[in-house]
Amino acid sequence: MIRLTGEFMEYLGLAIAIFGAVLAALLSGIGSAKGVGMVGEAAAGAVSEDPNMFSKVLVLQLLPGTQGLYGLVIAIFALSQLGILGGELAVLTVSEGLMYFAACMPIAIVGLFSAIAQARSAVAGVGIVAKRPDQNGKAITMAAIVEFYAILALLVSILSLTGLA
Amino acid sequence: MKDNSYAFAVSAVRVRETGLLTKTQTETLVTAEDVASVLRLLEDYGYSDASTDPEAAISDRMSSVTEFIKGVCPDDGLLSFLFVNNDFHNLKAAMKCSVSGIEPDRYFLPPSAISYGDVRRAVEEKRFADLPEIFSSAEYAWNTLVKTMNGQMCEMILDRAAIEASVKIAAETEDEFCIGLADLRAKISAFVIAYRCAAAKKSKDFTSEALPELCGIDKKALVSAVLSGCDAVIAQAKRYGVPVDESDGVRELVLSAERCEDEYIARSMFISMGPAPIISYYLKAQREASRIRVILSCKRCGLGEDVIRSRIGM
Repeated sequence: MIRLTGEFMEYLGLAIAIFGAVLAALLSGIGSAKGVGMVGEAAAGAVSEDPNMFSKVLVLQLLPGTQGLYGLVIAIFALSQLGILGGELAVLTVSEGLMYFAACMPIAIVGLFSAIAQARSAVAGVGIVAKRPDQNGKAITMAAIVEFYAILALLVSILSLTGLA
Repeated sequence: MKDNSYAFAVSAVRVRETGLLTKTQTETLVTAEDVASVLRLLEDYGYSDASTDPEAAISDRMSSVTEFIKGVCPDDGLLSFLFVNNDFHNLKAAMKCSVSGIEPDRYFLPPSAISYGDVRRAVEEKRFADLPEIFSSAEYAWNTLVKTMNGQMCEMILDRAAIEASVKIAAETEDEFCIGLADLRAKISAFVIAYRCAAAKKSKDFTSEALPELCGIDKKALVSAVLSGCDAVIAQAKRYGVPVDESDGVRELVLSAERCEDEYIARSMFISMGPAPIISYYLKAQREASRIRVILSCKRCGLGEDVIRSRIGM
């Protein structure tokens, strides 16, 4: 029992850090999947009436997908630092594990919500393109502005992980 | 129903909306020289074979809109909301035809959420319990019709039921736009009924029976206004925010009601999710069809452009 508790405590820090990395990929992935799905539905509606719109709405559909990639980048970055992807497993204290966890949270949380917010903006953009196909540049710009906040969260996560390395 | 469920439908509607007549195109129809010019223009605007049979061209266009809406709408409740007036019209037609011994099929109005075959059967076999719940007043309306042979009374009972059903169906959709539209239409219909009752000097009992129970409207005060006359009804309408500028008869009230509804549905332009754009598209298509019919009738009668503009509320 004493040995089990000792081992548990030994790996608890690492477990917390891995959990953070998993959440980064998971939450931003969920946000992106939901977002891309939402815009995909809207895009399909427009294409069903006018197949020429496919290329114009495709860019809008892709936009909320980036958050999932950012989450994946942070997860890989964190996991490689923790020695999960090769090399020796890092031994972390609980507080070090919590620091890794905190470093992964910006992209996890902002990724989830910004992907959905961007999807809503992109769905509205599909509406613009559907009515005025020549205005697709403006629709893309408006949806892309939401991306800025995901990029900020990505930067914060990268800088925090770099600082922890 | 989640707003996301309408993503496909809304985008498809946005593409289709570009096929509706613009203000400029409608104005061109109004200023066209004669009926033949209007028909030529309609063909240019996508009403194929309008020159051969304009009514068929308009009906075909509306059928295509209806089929499209039925195809993309993910919620049957919304279809019920859109078609509730036709459902009640079909019920009235079935009842009146049954009493008069006339074949009702040609009086049925498509589209409907409730199959008119079922409505016809239920009325002919007097099995009103088989009808959907929104037709709960059907038996009462039928008994009134049979006992009094007063078609107006029967129609009034069902009109009131239609207004109340529309508000109820809208509430079930849980969509703010839909609920707001149903409330607005119900309020406007109540004032139109009140105005008609006042103009025809109807009794207190008749008026009370005709006016729907709507939350937010003091029915007692409205009945009193009806008994005081048309001006009192107009004053009540203004009090409830229905913008009626002149008491220039029921036509002015109806046109002002249509303007009010147009302004409301124009808000859907700023809504990118949910059923609002679908409702708006259907109502705009309906308004377009009725405007074209009015323009054609006016042109056939040789009426001037200003008269046509006032008739179509432009």
